[in-house]
Amino acid sequence: MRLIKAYCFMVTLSLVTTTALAQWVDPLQTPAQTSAKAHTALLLDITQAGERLVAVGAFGHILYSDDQGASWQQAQVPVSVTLTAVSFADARHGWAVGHDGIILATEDGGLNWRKQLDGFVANDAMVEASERLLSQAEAALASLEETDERNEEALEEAEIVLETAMFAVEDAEYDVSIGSTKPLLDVLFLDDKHGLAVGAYGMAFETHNGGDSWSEFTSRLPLTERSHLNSLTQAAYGQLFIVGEMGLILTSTDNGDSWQALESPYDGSLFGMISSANQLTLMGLRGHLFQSTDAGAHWRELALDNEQTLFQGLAMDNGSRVLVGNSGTVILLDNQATQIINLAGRKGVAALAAVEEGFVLVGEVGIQRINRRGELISAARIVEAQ
Amino acid sequence: MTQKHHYSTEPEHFILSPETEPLLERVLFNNRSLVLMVLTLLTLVFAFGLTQIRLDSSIEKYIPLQHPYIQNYLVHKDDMKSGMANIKIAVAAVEGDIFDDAYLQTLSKINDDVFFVTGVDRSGMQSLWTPNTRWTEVTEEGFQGGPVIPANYDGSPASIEQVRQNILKSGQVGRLVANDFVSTVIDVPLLERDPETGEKLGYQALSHQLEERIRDHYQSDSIRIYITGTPKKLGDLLDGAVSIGYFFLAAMLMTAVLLYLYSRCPKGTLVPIAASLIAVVWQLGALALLGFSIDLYSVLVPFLVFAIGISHGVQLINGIAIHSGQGLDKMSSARQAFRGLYVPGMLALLSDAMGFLTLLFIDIGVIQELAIAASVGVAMIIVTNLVLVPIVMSYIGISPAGIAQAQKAEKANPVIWQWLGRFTDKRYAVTVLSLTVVLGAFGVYYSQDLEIGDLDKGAPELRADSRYNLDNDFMVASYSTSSDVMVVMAETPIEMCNTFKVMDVLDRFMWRMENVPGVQSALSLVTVSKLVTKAMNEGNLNWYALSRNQTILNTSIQRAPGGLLNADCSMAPVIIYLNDHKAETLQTVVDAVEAFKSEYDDQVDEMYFGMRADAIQDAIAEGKIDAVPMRLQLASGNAGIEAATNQVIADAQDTMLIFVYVVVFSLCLLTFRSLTAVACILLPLALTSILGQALMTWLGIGVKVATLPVIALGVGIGVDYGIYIYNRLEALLISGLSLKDAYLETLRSTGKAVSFTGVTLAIGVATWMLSPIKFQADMGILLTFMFLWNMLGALVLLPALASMLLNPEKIRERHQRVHQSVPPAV
Repeated sequence: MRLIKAYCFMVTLSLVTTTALAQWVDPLQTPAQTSAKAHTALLLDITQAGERLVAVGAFGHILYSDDQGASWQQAQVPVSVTLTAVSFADARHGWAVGHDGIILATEDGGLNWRKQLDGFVANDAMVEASERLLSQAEAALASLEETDERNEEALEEAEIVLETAMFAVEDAEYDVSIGSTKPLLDVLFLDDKHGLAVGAYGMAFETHNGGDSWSEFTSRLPLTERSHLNSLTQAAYGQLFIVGEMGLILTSTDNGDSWQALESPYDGSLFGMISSANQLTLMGLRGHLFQSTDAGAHWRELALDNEQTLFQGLAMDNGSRVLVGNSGTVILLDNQATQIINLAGRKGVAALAAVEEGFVLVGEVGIQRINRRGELISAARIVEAQ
Repeated sequence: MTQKHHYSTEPEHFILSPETEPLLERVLFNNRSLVLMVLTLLTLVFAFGLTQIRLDSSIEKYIPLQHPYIQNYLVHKDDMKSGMANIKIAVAAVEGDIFDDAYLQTLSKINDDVFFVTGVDRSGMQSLWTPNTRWTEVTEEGFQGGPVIPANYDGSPASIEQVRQNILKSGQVGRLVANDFVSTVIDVPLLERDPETGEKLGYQALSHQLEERIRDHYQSDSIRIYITGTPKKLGDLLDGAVSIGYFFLAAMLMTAVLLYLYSRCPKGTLVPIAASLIAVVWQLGALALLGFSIDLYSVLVPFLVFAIGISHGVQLINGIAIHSGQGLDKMSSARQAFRGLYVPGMLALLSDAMGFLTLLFIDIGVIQELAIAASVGVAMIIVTNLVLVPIVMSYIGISPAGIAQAQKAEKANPVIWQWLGRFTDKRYAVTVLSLTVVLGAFGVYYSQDLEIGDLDKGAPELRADSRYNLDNDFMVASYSTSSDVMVVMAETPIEMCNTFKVMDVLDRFMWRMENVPGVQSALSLVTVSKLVTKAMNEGNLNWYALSRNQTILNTSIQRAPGGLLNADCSMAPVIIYLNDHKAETLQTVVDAVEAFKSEYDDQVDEMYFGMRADAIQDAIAEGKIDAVPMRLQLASGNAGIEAATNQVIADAQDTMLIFVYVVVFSLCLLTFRSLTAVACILLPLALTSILGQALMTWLGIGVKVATLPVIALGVGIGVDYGIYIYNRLEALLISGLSLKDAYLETLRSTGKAVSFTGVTLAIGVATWMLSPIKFQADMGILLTFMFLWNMLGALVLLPALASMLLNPEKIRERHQRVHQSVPPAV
């Protein structure tokens, strides 16, 4: 009997060749799965929602902790794409963005999330925007050509702008044809209605109604190329900054209505900026650090013995700064001393949050906790959501 | 002497009709010289065969080739070759770390020497010193890179610091460079054939070359060498198999000493040993002539054949000595002994052979060849020992000392026999039987925890403290790798393995697997794609994800290692690293894979898998299929193969046991024509089988390729004792003795031989426990236990059962009915 059973088993195994994909559901439509290891997988951003910590990352994971990062629960998320950034306007209202142009929102402090925008919608918006840019460029060129005294230089410039605009339209249309591909890289809410989200290839969206509708504002940015927009920061007096590829620094002093490009101290990519009372710290490729005390008008390089790219940081009330980046790099900067630490395992750290004991870091190996001296302390754990 | 009456002292046997028995005896003993000539000739032929024997190291024989997992693996075997036949040599600094000029120089020399070892695929070799180990870095200008050890390396502190920085940038920490920077690895892919001779690469020779030219040459107070990899393991195993020869010699010498102490007759010692050796020559020669080769399992068969041969030889010598002691001449005592023993002997040997043949039900090459080798060997013993021993003895006779010893034993009434005799008393019998039931129940209960598969870490074939496993422990501890790997093969149409949807499913599959208990991590094309996508975006962690843009996907896997996709991109393996290879872990992972498959279950026609990319796109456009077909196929990697083996073993385990018992039961019933007789013989065996399983549970030995045959071997060999003892006991009962007297008499003759054999056999197989090969040691432990316990069962349990089940009167009546004309015995 057993023999027969075994035989049947083998025959079944060899005949039933199961095939994946027929029931493939787009990650944008696939809810995030709960996982007992979610706190050890890639996490890319962490923020404070009142007393609560909320972290986002790969596979649509959103985790929250109500005990300073010791234990974590997994939130209900309708997508399973990689999430790159999270921002809360208050303890209850928060937004997360990520790959495939996803924007998610929560109204209960991060327990349940719903979709507000995805890359397919975003792509259409980008086509619209690039077409508008194209017609503006065409009009500009036409008006230049109509003027009697031909300014060759201006003409040439206008032609380049037109060409760029034409490429932009082509790119946008291509994106539509292959589905959403571009990630949003950062999100910032100024209050529970007004928020900004930026991403790859100059993608920028804003809302004035808490995300009920999003509209692009790429066309309002003074961009010569469609660079990646890596990070959004709100500094003293509400001044806004966007930093990105090729030393890009944009700023707005009117809550994002208008943007100006600042002169950059650096040609390479910029990944983040932190701000304390009167000081801005700018993080670039391969550990390049710059600081400014005049709202970005002038920058001074801060030379440290570090070649690892830094992504994020925190400015503490006492004036000290903590910066994190690739290869497990944690840099503790205060007025007296600079301490550069490489965490064991040398796994990249993407962001951090301050807690009583020290800091909660998120990155390639999920959540890590360090004390104020930068030493790893007991690992975080995950508990089932109630 | 009247042939007609010869069977009067023996119970009825029906394997051969009563009339043929004297015929066989007559034919053999009346043509003794002719028989000897024929046997000598045969021995010469087989001895020639022996010179043709080969040691076989092919890996296919150890795995269940018909299992669907293995079939799937064989389909893709060539695509995954890289990584299978690899050797890793770790060079460790004893003090300090690798950032030391002396260390780096030694490493360079070792690197050069390895380069010239025969069979090394030089183009694929990788170490800190090979030019293919590079660092890359994203800078403001784009990618920058170079060899980890720069061309201008001069051993100065500055250039060592340069090496340190390059290593950190190379991403090799955990792969080529240990996590603690105390050792580095030389990764050595091997060619399948020797490029000069075109011959298949011999792993044993390779292993020796590595030991001599690398380990012995470079290991010192400051440098330690660790070598791992499947080819090295096989080399070590083959070395171990050769060392088995010494155990054979040891077993033979011990047997000779014991046999002499037992018989006190040099002739009676040498003849059974010579006959058993001839049996071994016949067995090996016959197999070689039949085209079989020796492997790590069948190398043990000569032990068994030798031991079983001795067992039967001793019975004959014992019989001859007893008859000589009664005053018969050489010829007559040899004939009497032959007459009395060849039927039970043949029955026992046939049971052995049939028991071994049940191993053919297990679809694993080595076990089947073991079955054939052991059956052939046992069949040979029928001729070499049952026939050759008495014929030779009929010429040379037992020495006077041997006869005196036999007479002494006949008269002696040692305490131990007295004690054993009590078990025929019903009061003692009840105690023994109750104890048996308790033991049996305990055994059944305890062996519920018996596990399938290999339970030890590292390479389970070798001992935990073997050099290979110690080297392996070092590798696992110092590098981010596990030695237990399950590979799931993702099949797609041609040129479709890197399409977004396929990669997305693989991504989810990997994450699902990483969440399965026992899984450490998973690696595939997807891992590479994400890493490269991140690198192309200046190392920004935010980009560690799959792109939907096919151009980006293509670029991201352009430089993926060959082992992660096949040449036409129709298969991408997912490599799952496990904590261990315990059966439970393997089954959990296999179940999780099946569960994932069932969620994506879809019956897409086989034909789509042979299609090219554009044909698939057309099929999707025409609505024939919804998406690119992909199927996940189990399994490869050592853990995948072991999972398949475990399934085969688990399915075969009970079947095989049932078949062994059915065969032995049938043969005994056919011979003795009495259910009570069969019960007396088989019940002690059943207890041994049960307790054997309990012992395995207790010792943490799983049911695996090595231990499954032991169950059949144990039953097959154990049945001898019962048959000899019961046969003699019944004959004496018929002759009119009471059960107790008959049993005491049996003990003095047959019982003595049985207890001697039990101990001798046990010692023979106990030498295996010293084998460097773990599974041979496991087999040794179990067989030793089974031989001893079977002997005890036959000496203690059998008389107790007989006192409850046998009715001497009935046996006599039956004998009268069948052989009315025959006068009652002695």
